[in-house]
Amino acid sequence: MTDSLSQTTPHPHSSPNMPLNAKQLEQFAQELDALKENIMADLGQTDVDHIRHIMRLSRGSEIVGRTLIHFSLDPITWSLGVIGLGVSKILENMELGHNIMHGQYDWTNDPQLNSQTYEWDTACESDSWRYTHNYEHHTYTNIRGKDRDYGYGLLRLSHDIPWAPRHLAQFLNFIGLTVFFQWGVALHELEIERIVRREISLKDKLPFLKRFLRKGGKQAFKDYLFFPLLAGPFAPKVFLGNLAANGLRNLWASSVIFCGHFTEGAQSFPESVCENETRGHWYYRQLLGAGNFTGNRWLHILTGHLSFQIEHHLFPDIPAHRYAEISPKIKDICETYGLPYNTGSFWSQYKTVVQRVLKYSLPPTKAALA
Amino acid sequence: MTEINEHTDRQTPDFMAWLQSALFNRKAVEYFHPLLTALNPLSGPELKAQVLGVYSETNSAKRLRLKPRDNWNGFLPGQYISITLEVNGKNIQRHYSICSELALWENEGLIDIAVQQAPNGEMSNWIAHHIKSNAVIRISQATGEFTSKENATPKLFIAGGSGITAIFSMLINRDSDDPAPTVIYTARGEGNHLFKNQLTHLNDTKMKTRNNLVNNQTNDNAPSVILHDSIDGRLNEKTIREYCPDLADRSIYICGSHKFTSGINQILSDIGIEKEAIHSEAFINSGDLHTTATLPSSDSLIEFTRSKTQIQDTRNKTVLELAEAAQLNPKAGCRSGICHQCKCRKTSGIVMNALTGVESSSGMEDIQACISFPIGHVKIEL
Repeated sequence: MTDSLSQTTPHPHSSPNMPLNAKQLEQFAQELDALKENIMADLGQTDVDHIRHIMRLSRGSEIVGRTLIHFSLDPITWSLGVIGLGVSKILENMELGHNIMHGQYDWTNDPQLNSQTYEWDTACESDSWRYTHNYEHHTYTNIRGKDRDYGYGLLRLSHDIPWAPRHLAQFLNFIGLTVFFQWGVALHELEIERIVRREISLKDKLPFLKRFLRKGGKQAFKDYLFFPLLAGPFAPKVFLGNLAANGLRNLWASSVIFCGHFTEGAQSFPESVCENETRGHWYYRQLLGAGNFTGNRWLHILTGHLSFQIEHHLFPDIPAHRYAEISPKIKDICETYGLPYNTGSFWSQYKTVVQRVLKYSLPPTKAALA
Repeated sequence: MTEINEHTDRQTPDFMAWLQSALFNRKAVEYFHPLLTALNPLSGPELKAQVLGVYSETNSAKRLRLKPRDNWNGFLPGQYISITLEVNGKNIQRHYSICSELALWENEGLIDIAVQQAPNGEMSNWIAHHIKSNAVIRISQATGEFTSKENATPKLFIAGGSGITAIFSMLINRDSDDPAPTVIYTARGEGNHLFKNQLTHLNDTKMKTRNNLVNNQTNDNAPSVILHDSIDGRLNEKTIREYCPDLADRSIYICGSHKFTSGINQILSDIGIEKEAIHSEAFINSGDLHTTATLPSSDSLIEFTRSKTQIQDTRNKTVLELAEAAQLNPKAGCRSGICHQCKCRKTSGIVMNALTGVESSSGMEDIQACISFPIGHVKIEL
């Protein structure tokens, strides 16, 4: 592989429309590596202060939210409580959980910020997440058949996947995934699509199912049993409040993630690219598989800075609140190499997601349509 | 009745642990900790101490006076504590010997540590320039086997550099009827001997104490202290014999950098001193790091502390490959530094990052096993 770097032939496994030759790809990688090193050398107190501030905010907001739900006698107080608890879960899942588990704060050596021991406030068990997300999704991003986040085994998002009649209903799957997102994520490692195809049996997944029940059970116990019962006769009100807060988080988290990878501009790749992939090509694939959306500082924080999905995929272990300052530099580099930088407003990106889900629910040709 | 009690005793902690993990996804105390420390930095389950004062001992050494919280158990002279500080957002941990009198702890609940500034020392430089009175730092219980063993035999103390701290502690806290010890203390350059004044006045102080305790006794068990300057030459067999002619009849305590203690141990074993008579304690000096890095790699050794296995000759192998070779079945993922699945704790030693070529510090930290090449002697918690 190293031999071909000095030549001007394209990467043998790259997608057909790859605009860079091997040498350019290597330079591209070097520029990105240098950018990363600069940031890593600059990490310090402000980064830790930021994440601890968000941690206090999330926990404070949970305490206030649950208290308001518990004592509310009118719909306004109750709604404020739901928002407080929902925001707490959003901050915890997005800016804290997701980012800490990526190892963004491991350099601090703080046990509370350790990627391998952090456990988050959602049905998905952290170990399962670290495997399916950090390893599978981030290593094999948007490689069809290898990145199971690509469509979550439910959505057909490219004509490279053969059409079947069940895809006609995929918009319903899309809605279902949005509403029950935390349970979808929690069951991701089950690989339902492979069980349906009989490649694996349910029996193989028993150890995983045990772990799923252990963690999911705890979350259900907390939100749908413990805190409701604490309110005695007002249990239904608390039950509904917690359901709404979880729903709020599900809606938000799923929308952010769909905008990151399922937009019109996000490309997918064949499995062959994994063989002897260079670092440059890995960067290239990360760039093309992701999409950003614009917003102000608090919108970015509420998305866990996944509104900078491109920067996140290039540098999954740089503290995410740094993506904003990296972003213009990445844009410049993309311009230099003539590579696309997929961005837009939240709604314009979300619109293309919905369009894409609808478009690929139908078979590829007009003849088939008729 | 007893049976039921036993049953609930066993069940309650499990249920409470489960309940805490269900409600907070961690221990309750860990959940509330960030909120409570914002109000009171001394709160929390960890051992902590407040810095009451920072004093200059020499141009390059500071003495910190600490007030540990009530859950700290005290110390034996010669023992050390580990200190964890957040230096520019990063937690680093180092060990320092306690160098104050037992009486200070027993009467006022205070201890002192001495911190010698090392050229590349992350923590010692931070302490020298940034730490202020009233700061709250995390500490450990006192630990270490390097303590005064038996009293009948006269002692010879040999200290190199900041190795004097542990020995100083033994000297100022020794029993007044211990036979006279000899202290050989080597440091580099004029004015770099820690506790120089206190050491040279140990004689007078002792005299005074004795006069108060027992009248008219001679001062023949006061320590004789030799301050050696290593610019005039390193300690060797000849100088040690000169300083302490009866060294064969003494029990010997050595403290200093790893290089120093192994050098002195070698000299003593060449003379024919029995191993049983020698107690030594070594520390890793950040100044030695670069010599460690240039060691022939055949001197390399990786220790997996949890499984108590080790592998010699770690050349050109990552920590992950070595752990797999030791059949530890470590967790791994992308094998290219992306996913952090293989993260593990290095308790000591240096590793080189394969992607950046940067060498780590020698202290405790979390590393990515798949892109870390061990250098020299490395300990991993696996």
